[in-house]
Amino acid sequence: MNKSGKVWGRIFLLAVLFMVLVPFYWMVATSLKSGAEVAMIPSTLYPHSIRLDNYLKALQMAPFLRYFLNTVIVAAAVVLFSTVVSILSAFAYARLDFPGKDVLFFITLATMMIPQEMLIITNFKTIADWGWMNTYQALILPYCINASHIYLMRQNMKQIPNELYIAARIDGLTNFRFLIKVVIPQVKSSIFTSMLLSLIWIWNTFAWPNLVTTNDALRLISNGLKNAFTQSSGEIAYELQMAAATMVTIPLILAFVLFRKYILSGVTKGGIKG
Amino acid sequence: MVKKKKAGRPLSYTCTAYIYLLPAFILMAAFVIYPAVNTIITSFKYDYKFLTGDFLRFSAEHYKEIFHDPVFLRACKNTLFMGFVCVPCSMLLSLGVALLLNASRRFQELLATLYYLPQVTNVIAAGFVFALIFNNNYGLLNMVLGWFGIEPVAWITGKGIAGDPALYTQSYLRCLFILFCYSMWNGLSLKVILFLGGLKGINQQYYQAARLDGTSRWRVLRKITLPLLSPTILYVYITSSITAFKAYTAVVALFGNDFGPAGDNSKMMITLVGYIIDKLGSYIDTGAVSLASAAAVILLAAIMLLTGLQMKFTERRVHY
Amino acid sequence: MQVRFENVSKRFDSKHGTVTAVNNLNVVIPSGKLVGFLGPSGCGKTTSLYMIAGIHNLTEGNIWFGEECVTALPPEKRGVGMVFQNYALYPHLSVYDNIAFPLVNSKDIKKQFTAEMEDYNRANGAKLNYKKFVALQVREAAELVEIQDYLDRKPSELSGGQQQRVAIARALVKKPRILLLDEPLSNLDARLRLQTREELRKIQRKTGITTVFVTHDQEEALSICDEIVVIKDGVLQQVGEPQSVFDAPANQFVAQFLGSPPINIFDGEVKGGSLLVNGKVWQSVPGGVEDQPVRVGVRSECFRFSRQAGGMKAEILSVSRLGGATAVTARLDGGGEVKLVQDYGNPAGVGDTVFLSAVPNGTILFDEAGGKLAQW
Repeated sequence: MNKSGKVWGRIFLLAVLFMVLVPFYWMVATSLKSGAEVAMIPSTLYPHSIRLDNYLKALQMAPFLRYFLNTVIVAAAVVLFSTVVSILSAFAYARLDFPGKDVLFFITLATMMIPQEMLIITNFKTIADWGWMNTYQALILPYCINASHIYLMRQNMKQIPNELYIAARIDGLTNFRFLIKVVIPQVKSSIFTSMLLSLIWIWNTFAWPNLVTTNDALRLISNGLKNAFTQSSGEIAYELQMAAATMVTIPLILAFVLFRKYILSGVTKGGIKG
Repeated sequence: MVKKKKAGRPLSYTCTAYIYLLPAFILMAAFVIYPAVNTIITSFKYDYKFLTGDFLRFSAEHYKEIFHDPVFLRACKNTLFMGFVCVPCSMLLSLGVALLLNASRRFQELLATLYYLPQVTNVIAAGFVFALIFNNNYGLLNMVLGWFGIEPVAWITGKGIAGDPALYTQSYLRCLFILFCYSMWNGLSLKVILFLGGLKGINQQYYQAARLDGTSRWRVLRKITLPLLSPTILYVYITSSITAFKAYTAVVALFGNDFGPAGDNSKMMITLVGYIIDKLGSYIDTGAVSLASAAAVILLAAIMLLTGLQMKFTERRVHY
Repeated sequence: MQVRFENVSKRFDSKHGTVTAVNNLNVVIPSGKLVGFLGPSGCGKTTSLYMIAGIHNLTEGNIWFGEECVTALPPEKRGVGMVFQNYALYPHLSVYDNIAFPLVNSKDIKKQFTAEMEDYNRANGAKLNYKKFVALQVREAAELVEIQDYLDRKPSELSGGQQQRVAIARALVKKPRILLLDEPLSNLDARLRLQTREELRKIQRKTGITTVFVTHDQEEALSICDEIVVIKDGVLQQVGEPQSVFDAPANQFVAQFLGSPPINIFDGEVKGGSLLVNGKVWQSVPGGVEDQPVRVGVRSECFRFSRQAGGMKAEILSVSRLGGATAVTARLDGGGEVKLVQDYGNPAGVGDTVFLSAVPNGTILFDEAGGKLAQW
């Protein structure tokens, strides 16, 4: 590329970066302003006085710590169960031979097409019929099955040479021991990836928990955030809203910065809800 | 069974294989397969009462009725807007970014990481921020416009629109613009990463050969890069459209539970999934859940169509 | 431990019908010997190996280890050790953990070695626990294959030859009754292959373990095996000591499969007790062969040639030096090409006319179907 082309390219990339970062800036800047400053027209570009106590006030507006804890509990349970469920079935599809394997695997893949949003209609009734409204299991169980994670792990497990399996069989390992001792250590990065993706999923999930929880003590973070700032018909305290939004955003961004490699590898391998 | 296994077929572990699959299939049956089938059935139940499960008869009337519901048509329009306007625009932008990023090695990782941030931002929080940026009084955008002497624009308003079609259209277009901006911002992340992955997968030998031949950059892009990237482009388009078709949370965060600016009663910005959940929310009304189910079946059909197209046009078939 | 195949057949069902991988195989693998299963790829030799291991079940017949019928035994009960072409080492484990793997992860082997440990402790007045005893076993196996200096490394940090030795140590550490090697050398480069196969031979001699060695490389099999079993399309062709199989192949396939360069085969005819090539009498045929068209096989090193008339007339086409030996190509008078080895007492140049004869036992006649008619 010639010189000026290169410069324009850089400018374009920086302009896009600027657009990407503006909302983050505005979120943090607003969260630090005083109520009076937020109400100024036109708005101020940067906070004239830094009000960190907005964060404390936001925490008092709604039980955000409770929402946070709920989200962590649900996410941990989902990650644990769905990982175990996915590993077991991915192992069966990758390694074992049994009648109907192709058909069952096809069904599993086909369910990837069904939108979660379609399922909540009947799941809502199921949960209500089972008397599970406002329970943790209602928040956890429907998330524990994720065909795309099964697919991701199976593909990874398939890369383990068949000879390792035969060698283990000759040495007298049971399937389960082979799974624990040989397979899991070798696919641990994709297990970790699917755990992270489950976590992000739960962190952003909104529609389902909104349906099955009416009890404030069971809300997840997205619902709590939404509810805290729309229920009152009065004017929204934007500085507090933004402080809450910042607090909700930071943990996930931290997780991303720490585990970027795993998250991106899962995303590029495809078929994963991002 | 165990005895038999040892005696006859040393390597047949059928029994254990099913045990490994059992948890997945119990969950799948309960929370995926049964609900999918049941939702399809429900969409055909006339006069269906959600609480008791009573219904009059099976009929396809809901599918006719739903297309006469202005709210549903609005939902379709908005969903199609996201799938066929926002997604292609966002793809074009992402493709440009990915091409430039791929050419400059220096800041690639850092930039790709920063571009990814919107994807790991809580959707509700991001929606709030966008709503605030476009806020009529306290918004960032009106502040910037003010620097250039432009009067504040009422970006999100429903005042007086009920009786005035021109005002309604203006308000609607502004809301669409906000949704467009949000999807450009939010959609960039994933697409840049996917395009970058696709670009990296292209064999460098093509470029070396082209350089030896003295092919111009533009020609290289048109004749080598884009054709070789086309499977990725298709994949990104299909998956992004599917995601766009399922848009809901962002719209709620941007425009509130009523899918529109205050003062609007028409659910101006509702989406297909918004419609499903809105109808489900009024489950006490007779027939509402059937309408929600019919909408869900239509969504499923749209997604299956897109997936089918992808399978038809690519070699990227699922391999066993 | 002697291994015996008794009328063993193996058929696989596939989408395209049934494939017979092994057809009515009867072979005895003598105890303590190194036996090579040799054949082109897809001939059923690996299937046979897997049947010894118990990975494939038999469609028909039985396999015996000594006096014990193992047909119905699962692999872990058979006491076999196996080494794979791609080594099949566990990449996440160190060399030590790889070798120790069978000893700590298998219930049956653990039981067996616990008993051995008690014997050892009693005999030596030692008080080793299982972990220490395993360490002792691992060290012994590692020393046998001379990798004791690499026990802390990961397999990826070793060369191909070293990985192969780790694989052998892992197979031997559990003191198997039979050692199975599936193309163990084909992932190594040429030089390493020569070296490793000598070591394999040495290790086998040292341990005296009955070893079955699958290969498609005839030179490999000829050089280190006590006996070779030649298989084609799932059917046994010949069993015997390498030299005797080489010298007296049972049929045209075996003759052609063994030896490099391959044996010369050209058309001929038996008529009234004489062998005719291109219509001219070449040699007289020992009694008992009826008049018929035949294929004549003569190895290149079994040709002699002279300048004086007498024998088969041929013209030298090319002479090429291959390091020590010199390969000569000649066209037979009347058609057909043969390869010969230069006779240093009688060097030939391109274009020379020579007369070919064969050394004693150097001429083999096959019928049209490839069956052997006579050799003299």
